[in-house]
Amino acid sequence: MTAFDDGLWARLVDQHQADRVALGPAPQRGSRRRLLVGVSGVAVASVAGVLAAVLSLAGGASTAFAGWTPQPTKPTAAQLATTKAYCASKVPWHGLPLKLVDARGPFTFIVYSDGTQNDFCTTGPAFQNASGWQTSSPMTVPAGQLFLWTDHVTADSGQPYGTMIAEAGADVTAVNVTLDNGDQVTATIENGWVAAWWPGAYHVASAQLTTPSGTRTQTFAPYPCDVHNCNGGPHGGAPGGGPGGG
Amino acid sequence: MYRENVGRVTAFFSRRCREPQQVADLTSQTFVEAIKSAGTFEGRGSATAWLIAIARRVYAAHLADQAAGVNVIDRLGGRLVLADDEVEDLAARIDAQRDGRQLLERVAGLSSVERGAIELVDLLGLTPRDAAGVLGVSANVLRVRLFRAHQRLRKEHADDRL
Repeated sequence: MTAFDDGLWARLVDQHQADRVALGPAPQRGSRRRLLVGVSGVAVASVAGVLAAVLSLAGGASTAFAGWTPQPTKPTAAQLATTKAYCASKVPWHGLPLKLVDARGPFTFIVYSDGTQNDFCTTGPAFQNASGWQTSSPMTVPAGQLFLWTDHVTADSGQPYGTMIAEAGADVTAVNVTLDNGDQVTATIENGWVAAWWPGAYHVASAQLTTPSGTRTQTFAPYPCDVHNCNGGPHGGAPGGGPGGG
Repeated sequence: MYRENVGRVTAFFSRRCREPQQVADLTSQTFVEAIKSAGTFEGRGSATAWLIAIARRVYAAHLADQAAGVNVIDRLGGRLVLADDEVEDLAARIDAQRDGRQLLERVAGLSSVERGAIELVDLLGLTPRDAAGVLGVSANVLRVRLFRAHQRLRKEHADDRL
């Protein structure tokens, strides 16, 4: 293992509990042995140890999202301070302007951006994470539209959850997201940024956008084409080089 | 598994990227993807083949982002902040893949399955069966394509020497 290998492993353990992840579907009738993804520097775990780790993840999953709400809530001062403190130490770029705070019960999701560098982070009782991305130039989103930056399912808590981050046209005042399982989630919209997240491995199907002139529904290509350039066209497949998803 | 494969994954990206930061980010993203989809591993091929399949998808998404003019660092795991010795380490690995890069350039005219077979079997050391799984073809098809690819490379090499 080289300096890079060791550094990456430490980060994977720190942020993604890599040393507790097992390969393979859930064991059936105890007949299937799982493989350990990571090998910790301390010791190679026994099969019993591996299974115990897997069970501990599964055990936490049932309550991982307790308190989550499909509508945003108002965060407490302490909740916000805790999330900001975590974000300040974990995000890729430090000191970016705060753009959005999305709270859902005890969970807080924050987006920071200066237009080209963008951070987001999440904290809650059962999990936390931080990440970011970078763009070549600031995005100007046409009126009445969303530009979807991410529509991602992750499993930091041991149970999957989906996240969407978008930027909105200046006239968009409210966003209701419909997932590909039909569930609806009210997104938070602040400073032109839109964010929502939800328990389960679901992706964004459409969004109902409220503007002064009424409401319209923006339908997105099925994931991953809603955020990736699947057809050689512009991001998200929107016509005319505009933002994706339309 | 990480220890056994991090070198192969890094080499995969070192043959395609010349910037240590890019190799680091894509390698990181591959392992984060692997962690998050560990439950989907069915054990029909080797773990190495499964990881390389993820690396190929990560690289394809990276190219798509580039084509769209978006530099997405990592929707999953965040950017790695590299220490100087890590940058040197990765720069050395990129340099070490010079021959591999040249080989990929030489086979650029072959079909995607033939190119993939050359890289997965000859450079990464996967078995033909595992490589076939990564490329989504049968093992027999892969063996035939690999044989043809070798023949063409030998012929080109012989032509070059004339």
